[in-house]
Amino acid sequence: MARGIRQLVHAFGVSVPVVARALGRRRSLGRPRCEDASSDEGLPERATGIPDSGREATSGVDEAGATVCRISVAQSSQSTVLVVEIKGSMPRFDQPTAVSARITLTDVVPDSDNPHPVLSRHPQHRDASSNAFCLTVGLGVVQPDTTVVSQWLKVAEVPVEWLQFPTKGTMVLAGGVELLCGESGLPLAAAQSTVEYINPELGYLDAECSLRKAHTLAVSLALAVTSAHHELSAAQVGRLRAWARSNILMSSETQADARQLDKALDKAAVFFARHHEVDLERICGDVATIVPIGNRCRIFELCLDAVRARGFADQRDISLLESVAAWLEIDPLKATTLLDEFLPATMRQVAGPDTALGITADMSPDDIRRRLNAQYRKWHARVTSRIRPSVPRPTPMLRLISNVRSEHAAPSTAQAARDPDVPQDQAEAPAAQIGS
Amino acid sequence: MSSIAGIDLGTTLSALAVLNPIGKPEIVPNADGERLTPSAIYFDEEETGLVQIGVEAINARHLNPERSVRWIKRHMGDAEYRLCIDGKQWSAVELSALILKKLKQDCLRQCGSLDYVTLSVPAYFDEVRRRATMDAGLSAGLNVIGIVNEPVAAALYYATACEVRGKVLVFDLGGGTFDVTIMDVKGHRMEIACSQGDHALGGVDFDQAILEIIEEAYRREMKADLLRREIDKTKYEDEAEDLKKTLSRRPVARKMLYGPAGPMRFEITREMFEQAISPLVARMDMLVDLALEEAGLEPSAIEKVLLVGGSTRIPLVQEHLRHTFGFAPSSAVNVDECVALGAAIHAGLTLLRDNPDKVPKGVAGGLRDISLTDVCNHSYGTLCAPIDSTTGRRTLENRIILRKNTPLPCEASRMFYTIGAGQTELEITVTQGEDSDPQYVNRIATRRLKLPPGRPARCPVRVTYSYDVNQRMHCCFHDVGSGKTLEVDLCMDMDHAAGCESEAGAGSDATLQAISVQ
Repeated sequence: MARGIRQLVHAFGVSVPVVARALGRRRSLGRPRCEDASSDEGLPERATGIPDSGREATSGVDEAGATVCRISVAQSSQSTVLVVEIKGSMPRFDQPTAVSARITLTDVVPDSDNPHPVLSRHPQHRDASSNAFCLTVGLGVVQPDTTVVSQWLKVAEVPVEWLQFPTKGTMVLAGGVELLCGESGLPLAAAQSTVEYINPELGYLDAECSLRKAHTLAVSLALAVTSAHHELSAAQVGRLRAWARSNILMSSETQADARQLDKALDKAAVFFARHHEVDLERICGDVATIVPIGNRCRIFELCLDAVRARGFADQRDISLLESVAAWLEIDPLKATTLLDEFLPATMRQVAGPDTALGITADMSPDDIRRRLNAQYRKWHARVTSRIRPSVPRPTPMLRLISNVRSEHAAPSTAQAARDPDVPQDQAEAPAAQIGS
Repeated sequence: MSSIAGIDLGTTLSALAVLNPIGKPEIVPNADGERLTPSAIYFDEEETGLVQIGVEAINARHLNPERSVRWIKRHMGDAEYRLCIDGKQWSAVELSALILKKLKQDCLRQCGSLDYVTLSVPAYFDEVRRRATMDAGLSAGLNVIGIVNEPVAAALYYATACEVRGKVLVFDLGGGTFDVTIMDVKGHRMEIACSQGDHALGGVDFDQAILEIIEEAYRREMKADLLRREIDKTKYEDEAEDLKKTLSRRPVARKMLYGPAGPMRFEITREMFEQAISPLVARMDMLVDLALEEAGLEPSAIEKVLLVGGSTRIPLVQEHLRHTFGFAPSSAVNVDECVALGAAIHAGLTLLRDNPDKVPKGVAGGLRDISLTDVCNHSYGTLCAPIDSTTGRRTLENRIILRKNTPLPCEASRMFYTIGAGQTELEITVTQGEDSDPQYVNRIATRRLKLPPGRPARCPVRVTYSYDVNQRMHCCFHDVGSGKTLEVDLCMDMDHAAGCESEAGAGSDATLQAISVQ
C-alpha cells in the first residue's frame, strides 16, 4: 500500500529545483562576490567593493580604496537582527550630496549559479519587480571633504521577522550594499559580504515543497476516500483531475506534463479502486505534519467535493469523512460546517431523514424542535430570498425539514377528536367560531 | 373631502377600504356588490383591450385558461416572469396594476374620489417586491403614499376595533403568503416586536395538496390521468378549493370526478387532508417558533393570537396554534377584510404624519390616539472579505449592519478595513438578507468608492445604514483617512427610484391606460 502512495507521490512530485528555478528567474541581483565578515579589523582579505568601470566613470569613486560592507547577526532588545555596516573610501563630491544605501539579501547556495533571494514580508521593503527584500536607507548629506569612513558605520538593522528565508536551517546570506546618489539615484559604489545564519523556521521553498507534497497526498487521500466504499465515477475522477492540474502543475509546465499527470492519476485511481485497505490515518497524519490548517481545510474540501461528485453520500462516507477531518486535525465545528455545505442532508443516503438532520434517539422533543428550528431558520431564508436565478433554491432541504418536523408535531384535529381530553366542539367544528 | 384608502392586494382575493368621515375604515364593495374581489384576470378573446377582473375572470377562465391568470402576487419582483397575451408580454407589475385599476374604478364609482392609498404587502416581501407593488399602484394611477406590512395592517385594525392588549401574535395565513408578527399593544399604541414570513406558503398550497390526492385517486382507480389538459387543471383547482373549504366545516367531502376514463366518486376525509398538509403546517409551526425566539418570548407570554387570512379557517391550523399557546386563537373580525381595513388606517396615519393639512378634521380626530412603531423587515449588510480564522483564507461574506426587527427609525454602523496596500477603489454592495453566504442574499445596490493612492492596507472605512419610518434607507460609506464618502439612498417613493430596480418597462403606463377593466 505504502508503495502505491510512494508511486503516486513520485508520479506527481516536482523537485525543489523547479521551484527554485522559477524563483531564481525573478531575482535581479547579479552573482555576489562572497565576503567573510567574521573580522571587523581592517578590510578582509577577500573584501570586495571594487567598482566596475562604468560606475567609476560616473560616480567618482576613489580608486585608492574601496567601499566594503559586513553583515552580522545580533540580538536586539526585541528580536534577532541582521546588522549591515560599511566602511572604506567614499566617492569624492564637489558639493554636499545626499547619499542613500540600498541593501539586498540573498541565500548563496554553494556550487550553484542560482542563489535564492530572501523575500520581504512587508511590501514597502520589496524590490520593485519582485518580492525580494530590498531596503533603502538615507545616509544623510556627505560633505565634499569626506572621502574615507575609517570606522564601521552601521547602515541598517534588519529584524529577521521582516524576512522570508528560502529554507530552514543553516545558510550563507550574501548582503549587498549599494550607495546611491540621493538626487539622481545613480549608483556610486557597491559592496557585498556574507554571513552564516541559521533559520529556525520553515522557509518559503520548504513551504512550497511541503505544499506540493501535501497536494499530491491530497489527491491520494481523495482517491482513497471516494473509492473506499463505492466505485469511482467518471465525474469524480474528472473533479480530481481538474484539482490536480490546477494545484500540482506549475504554470511553466507543458501539455505533456499535464498528460503525464493525468496518466498517473488514472493509474492511481485503478490502484485505489483495487486496494481498499488504505491507511488513511497515516496519509492524513503526513499531511497534518507538513501543511498548516488552511491547506488542510482545502484538502478536506477536495475529499468532500470528490464525494459530492458522485451525487450522494451514505452513512459510511459521512463517518469516513468525519474521521478524515479529525485525522487532519480540523476543528469539529468547522468540519461539520464544511460537511453541511458540500453534502447537505438531501444528498445523504443515511438511515433516515432524522439522522440526516442530526436528530438522535437521546434528544428530547424540545431538543429536536430547537435543532429543526435552527435548520429551518437557515434554509427558509435561503429558499425565500430573492436570489439570482443561477443559484439553485435549496427547496428539497426545506421539504425534508418540514417532513421531519411534521412527524414530531402536535396531534391532528382528527386525532384530537378521538382524544377524550379534547372537547369535541373544539376538535370538530372550530370553523363555526370564525367570522363570515 | 380627501378620500384615504387602504388596499389589500392579495394572492387570491383583494379588497379596498376607505376611512369614513370619523376616521373608521369601511370596506368599499366592488361593482358586483361583493366586499372581496378575486385577484384573477381574464383577457377577453373577442374584444381586445377588454380585461375582466374578479368573479367574471374566475368564471371565464374555464373557457380559455391560456388567457387567464391568478396568483400574480407570487411573481411580484420576478423580473423574468412574463405572460404573453396577443403578442404582449405582461409583467407581474402590469398584471397587478390591472387588478388595482379595477379596485380603483369600483371605488370611484362608489365614493367619487380616491386621493391617497396605502398598499399592503407581506412582511417578508423584500425591497424589490415592495418596489414592484408600489410600481403596480403607480401604474394603476393611484397616489400611493405608503406600503404597510399585512400583519401590521391587520393588527392595527384589530387593536382599534376590538379589545386587544398585551403581547399579541398576528397569524396571517392568506391565499399565497404567510406572515407571523408579534407586537405589544398598549391601548392604541402598537409596537411591533418582530415579523417572520414565507411568501410561498398559503391557501393555494393546500389546494395543491388536495389536487394531488384527487389526481392520485383517479389514477389508482381509473388507471388514467385526470388532468391532461390545462382546462382540466383549471377546473379541478377550483374543485380542490371547494373541497378544502368543505373540510374546514365537515370531516368528509365528496365530489364527482369526470375524467377521460369515466366518472368517479371521490371522497376525502379531513384526516387525509391533514396528513397531506402536515409538512406545510410544520413550516408554519417553525415560523411561529422562530418569531417567538426572535422576540425573546415563550409561548406562554403571548396573550392573544389573532387570525388573519382565509386559510386560518382550516381546523388543523387552529389546532396547532391551540396546542402551541394553550388557548384558542381569536378571529373577532372578518379575517379576509382586516388587512384592507388596517391599511386604510395606516394610510390615514401616514398622511397625518407627512401632510396633516390634507387630512379632514373628523378623520384626524378618529386617528389621533393611534400610534405605531414598526420594525425593520429585513437585515441589511454589505459584502466583505474577512480572513477565515481557521483556514487563513479570505472568503467573501455578507456582514449584517442593520439587523432585522430593529425598531424604526434606526441606524447602525460598522467599521471595515481595506484589504491591500495601494488599494484605490472599494466595491460596495448593499445586501438584504440574513445569510452570511453572499449567494443567498439579495444585492440591492452596487457602487464604487474611489480611494486615494499610495496607502497601506487596513485603512478604516465606516459603514452606516439608517432606515426611517417611511421605509427610506440611507447607506453611507465613509473612508476615515481621506474623508471621502459615498452615499446610497434606497427608498420606495418615485423621487428616489434610482436606487431601486424596477421590472415594469417604460411606457407601460400608457398601455395600461388604454386597457378597459370590468
